[in-house]
Amino acid sequence: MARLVVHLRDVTTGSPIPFTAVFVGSASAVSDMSGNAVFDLPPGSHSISVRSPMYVAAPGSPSSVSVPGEVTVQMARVTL
Amino acid sequence: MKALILYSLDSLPTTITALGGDAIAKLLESMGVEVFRFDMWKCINPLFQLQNWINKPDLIVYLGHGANDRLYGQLPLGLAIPLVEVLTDELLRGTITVTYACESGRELGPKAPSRAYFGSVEPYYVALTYPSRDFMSDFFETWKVIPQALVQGKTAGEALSLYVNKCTEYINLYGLHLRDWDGAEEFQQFLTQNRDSFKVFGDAGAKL
Repeated sequence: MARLVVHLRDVTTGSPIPFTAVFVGSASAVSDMSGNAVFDLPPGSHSISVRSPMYVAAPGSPSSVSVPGEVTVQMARVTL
Repeated sequence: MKALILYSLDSLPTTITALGGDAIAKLLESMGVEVFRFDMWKCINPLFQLQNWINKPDLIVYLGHGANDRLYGQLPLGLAIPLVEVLTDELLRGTITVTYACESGRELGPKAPSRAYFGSVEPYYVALTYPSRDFMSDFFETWKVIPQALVQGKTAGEALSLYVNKCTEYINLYGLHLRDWDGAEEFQQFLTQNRDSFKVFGDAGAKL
């Protein structure tokens, strides 16, 4: 197994986005107060998606990630 | 017929609603409506009050941040002095008020002295433009429906039905493209909430 760290950031402010569900392959985790979600996964390429009631992944965000590694997902707020 | 279009510009979501507000204003102007635009720093309570005193509109359309008892208008001033809130809702008396904002249908909408007040009882979503689909323009099309229908002489209730139908049209379209349009699933869910949480308060038979 190898480590993947996903950083969730607000695309406008750069601030971390906590308590948000991140899905990598068949695994899932919730981002911490610093907007980070940590996974231990088999090495290789995995799909990634993020689900939030307030944000969507900004256009151009990665749809796959390499493990081991680190990736930042820029999120855009879509609620008024 | 006079319409006042109010839209702030202070965050990513309101960047999008500002474009939507501009599109609504242009649409109503093309229909012969006398349109007053209060955008950005003009989208504040003191100027709204002044406009009501000088030239009260028949139709108000607001796009921006909101909460259960208020519409903020331009931030940061709107945090201290909201554009309109339950305590100042006399500003809405006699108008048909259409709000694309979060949650104002919970308290402000039911209490407002508008002839009819359109608003969401839940958080309200904007959309982005993706390479695979311009979801933002789709959402704009849903926002145009109610003002356009009202100007065409439809009742508030009829206008709401047309809005629901337009949302459903896009929700179904996104459902057909869940695999090939990146973002289709998210915006399908968000538009479903925009449809199901959007209500009309007051007189559903009101017309402009």
